Amino acid sequence: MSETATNNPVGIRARGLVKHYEGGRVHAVDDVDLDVAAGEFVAICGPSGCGKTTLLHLFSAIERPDAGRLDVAGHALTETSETEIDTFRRTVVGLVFQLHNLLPDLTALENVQVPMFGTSRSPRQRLERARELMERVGLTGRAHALPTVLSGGERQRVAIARALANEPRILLADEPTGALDSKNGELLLDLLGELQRDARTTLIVVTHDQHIAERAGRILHMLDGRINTTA
Amino acid sequence: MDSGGSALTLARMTTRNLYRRPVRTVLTAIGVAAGVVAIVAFSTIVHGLWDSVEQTIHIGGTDLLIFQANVAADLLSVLDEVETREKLLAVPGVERAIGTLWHVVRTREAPFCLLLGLSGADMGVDPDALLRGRYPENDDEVLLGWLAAKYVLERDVGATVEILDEHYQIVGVFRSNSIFIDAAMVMTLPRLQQLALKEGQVTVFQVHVREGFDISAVSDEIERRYPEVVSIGEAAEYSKADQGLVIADSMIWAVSFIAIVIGSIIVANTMWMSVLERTREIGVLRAVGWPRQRIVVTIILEAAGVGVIAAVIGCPAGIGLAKLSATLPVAEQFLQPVVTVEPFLIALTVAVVLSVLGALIPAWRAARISPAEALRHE
Repeated sequence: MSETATNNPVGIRARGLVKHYEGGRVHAVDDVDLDVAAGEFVAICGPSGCGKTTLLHLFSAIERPDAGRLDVAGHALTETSETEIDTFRRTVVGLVFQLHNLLPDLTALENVQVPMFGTSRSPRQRLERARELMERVGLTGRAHALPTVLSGGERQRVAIARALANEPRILLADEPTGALDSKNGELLLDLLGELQRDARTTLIVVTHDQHIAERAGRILHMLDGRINTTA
Repeated sequence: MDSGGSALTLARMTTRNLYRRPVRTVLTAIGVAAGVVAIVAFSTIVHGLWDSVEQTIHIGGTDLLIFQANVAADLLSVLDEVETREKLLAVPGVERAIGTLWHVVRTREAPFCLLLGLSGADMGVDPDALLRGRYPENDDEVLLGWLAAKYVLERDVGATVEILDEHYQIVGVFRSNSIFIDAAMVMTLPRLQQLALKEGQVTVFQVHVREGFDISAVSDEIERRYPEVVSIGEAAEYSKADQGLVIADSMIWAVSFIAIVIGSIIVANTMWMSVLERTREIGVLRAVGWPRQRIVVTIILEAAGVGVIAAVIGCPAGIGLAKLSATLPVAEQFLQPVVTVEPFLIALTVAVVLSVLGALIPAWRAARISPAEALRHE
């Protein structure tokens, strides 16, 4: 089964992608074929445990597939070395987690600088870039706040700024509104959509909320590790 | 746009991580500091001992000390007073050879009291040494080193002191700048030979070399001519006559090593806990593209930070301990801590290096954390 969307350059191409756990007893991702065009906004929906997050982790190279072939933004992840994977995670993809996952001892501004270590930017340039992003997500006034004093919505906006730090071509968001109330969730999705359109970034959002999924250009439904339908 | 804030660096992150659990950081540093205290305190004491030995060698302008060869302790040296003096004076360049008998007794006031026996002719060789009173002329008179007078016996000229059930009149007080000698009592050589049952014998000869002669050449000539003696011109050579300092040195380093190893284990434990606590954070760092090496560097920097804190705590504490030790009974007769830069540098290096060694396994564990598993970690 192959899910192809548009004629745009390919952002993600998966063929026969498989990821098992517990010695093969749990089929988190089971023979998935998928094409996502560059700049596309795709939502992956499905119930808890259907393999959405695992698929996202495969796309972001946080996990390696057990079988199949996966190309993300021109990088053949199934044939990439560990060092190249680090560079890929740092420069090609941006990740937004359900639970912001900000480093608790760093300020919002410092958290945004974290992914920029190891890039060609100097510390001063990293700081400038982080300031730009904080302004972009509307948190200039909260730059020096620690995550513990930020609201849930603010934390997720910082997490988005962090994900955008290295101008990724692919933005991956795992239940980004999961810990937010509906109003903040809507605002966050507005922000994500706006950033995606402005930078022509490929955006893949994992969600179990159909309402959120409807904002995407395409909806993929997952069940038992497989992609079933396209809306 | 907000222009405040500073660029994030690894050093800044390290500081934040150390500050995150300040009590734990300080307690860990104190654990490492125990090793630093041991190094600094013992080094300071040992430096003092070596310094005192150096001063003892050159007391009263002496150039060389001559002991019996092949003895394990200087106090065990036995030399014939007349024969050895004649032999030494026969060596070209030897101007004067002063025979001194060393003997240790226990008195009511001091459990360890050094007695020096000098012949009357040799007593006034260093005229500046006498602080007050005069040199002993009779067998029932003693001269006190100023430390013995002030701290050990707490007596001065005119008083008496009991040695081996006999009373001696204190006739003078001297200062030599050697803590060993300044804590001693001096009496006539014949009297001490009688007390120590060493008639006609001395422990050591203080040799003064004639001006214009090379001291080390004279020293070599003495040893060449008389293999039954050893000649010592500096503290580094003192092991020829006494193994005490070498043994003290070895024991001190052994104790320091144990303290350091314990400190290292404490660091390993703390860093291991820290890595476990931060599993999820490390996973996030890996997920945003931090390579394993940078994670390792972060953990190592943290451990090095603990080492620096330990050195900051341990160095002054070590000096304090050394000074405190020097005030203890008996120790005050022998310990004169000497503070030099060297032990600080050693302590800082050892604290940092061993903290880092302690952090290697936790750092390896951190580097092995799978980002996916870490992100699932609660």
